[in-house]
Amino acid sequence: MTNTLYQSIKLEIISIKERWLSYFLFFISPVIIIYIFFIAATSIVNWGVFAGLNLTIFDYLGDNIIGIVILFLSTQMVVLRIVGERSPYGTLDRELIAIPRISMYFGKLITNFVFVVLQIFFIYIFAFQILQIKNYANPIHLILFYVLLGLFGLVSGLAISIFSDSKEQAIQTVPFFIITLLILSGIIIPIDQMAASLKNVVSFLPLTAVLSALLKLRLSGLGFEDVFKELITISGWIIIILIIGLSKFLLEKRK
Amino acid sequence: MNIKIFVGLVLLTLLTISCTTIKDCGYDAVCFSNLAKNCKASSLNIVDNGNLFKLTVRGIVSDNCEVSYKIIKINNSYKNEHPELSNVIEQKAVTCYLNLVDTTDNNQTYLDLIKKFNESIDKHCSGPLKDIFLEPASTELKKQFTESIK
Repeated sequence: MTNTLYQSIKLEIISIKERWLSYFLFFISPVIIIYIFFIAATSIVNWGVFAGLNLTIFDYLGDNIIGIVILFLSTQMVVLRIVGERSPYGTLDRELIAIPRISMYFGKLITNFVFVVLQIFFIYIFAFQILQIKNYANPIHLILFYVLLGLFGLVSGLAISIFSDSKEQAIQTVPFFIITLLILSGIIIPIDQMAASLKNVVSFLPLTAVLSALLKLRLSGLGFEDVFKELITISGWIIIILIIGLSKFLLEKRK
Repeated sequence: MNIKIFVGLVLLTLLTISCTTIKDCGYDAVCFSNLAKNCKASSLNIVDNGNLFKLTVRGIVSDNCEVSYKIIKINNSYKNEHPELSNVIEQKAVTCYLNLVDTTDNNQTYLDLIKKFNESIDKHCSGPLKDIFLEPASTELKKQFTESIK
């Protein structure tokens, strides 16, 4: 099994090399987006629970932009990695001759996860070291939540890819998935101003949990012990989506 | 392979949680004192004058004792007097890195350093609460907070 996983990872690396321009754009686009936000969001926050702390809007909302970028790109990165190859004459059929589906799934997940982690370090250095976004937290704690969000994006992208019947369907599903999470994340509508029936539910959504944890750590100065609920929530989502996607992939009949 | 990865993920999560387990002493100052004097991970809630504060000792980090001071709730009279500042100050914390080397008294414990919040805040602490306490409007609350810890 380890051997086939290794082969799968090698194939995924070859695939990444072949599409290097696409991955290069994945790598630099977060930095461009964050920089545009940095230029635009220079006003001082004088409302809410962070008024008077001399924070710019970039300081206040930076996590939200970084989080959405990480989630969107990690989902987008893998959303076509299985669906395209599930077509009758796709590459996956050829790969499946030598590689079991489970190795194929984890090969794609592990290889892209390494890329996402590198991307997160790059984003961190750019946003926190170069643009100096305000931060009271331990960087390791922040990076852990970014990595978990990236991992959630990857398992979600693979799950979408597995459940979609065509590339078009997979591509159409990503904005629906991301925008739904975005609306309920507390960025557009603060959670305390949401409909009462939604307030208790939304805090258990993955993006909401991660952004809430990042805000508590980074700007409220709270410790890791204050974000266990959010840590459990995002870990739970990763495991659930991974199990659902992998089960469908392993159990489906070949077309 | 999949089972190993699942187990690995679960173990990693449990390890992360267990590594950061902090003994919650609730309102028991004796329990907290016994642990905090040696910088053992522990937390204490302090109710004083209608305010609710929380002290959390996270343990030794790079030869320093990491301690967090948090304001959970502040009293109603202060809220009525300073509604905007009250809104900002609740659920904010400051983290300090205290070191016994910095003291001249050999008999001092970490608990003694923790109690000297007013002396250590400028040199050894960082966090939004430190910035808020620099505001003149928060002087009274800072005084109450410092007294409560003693």
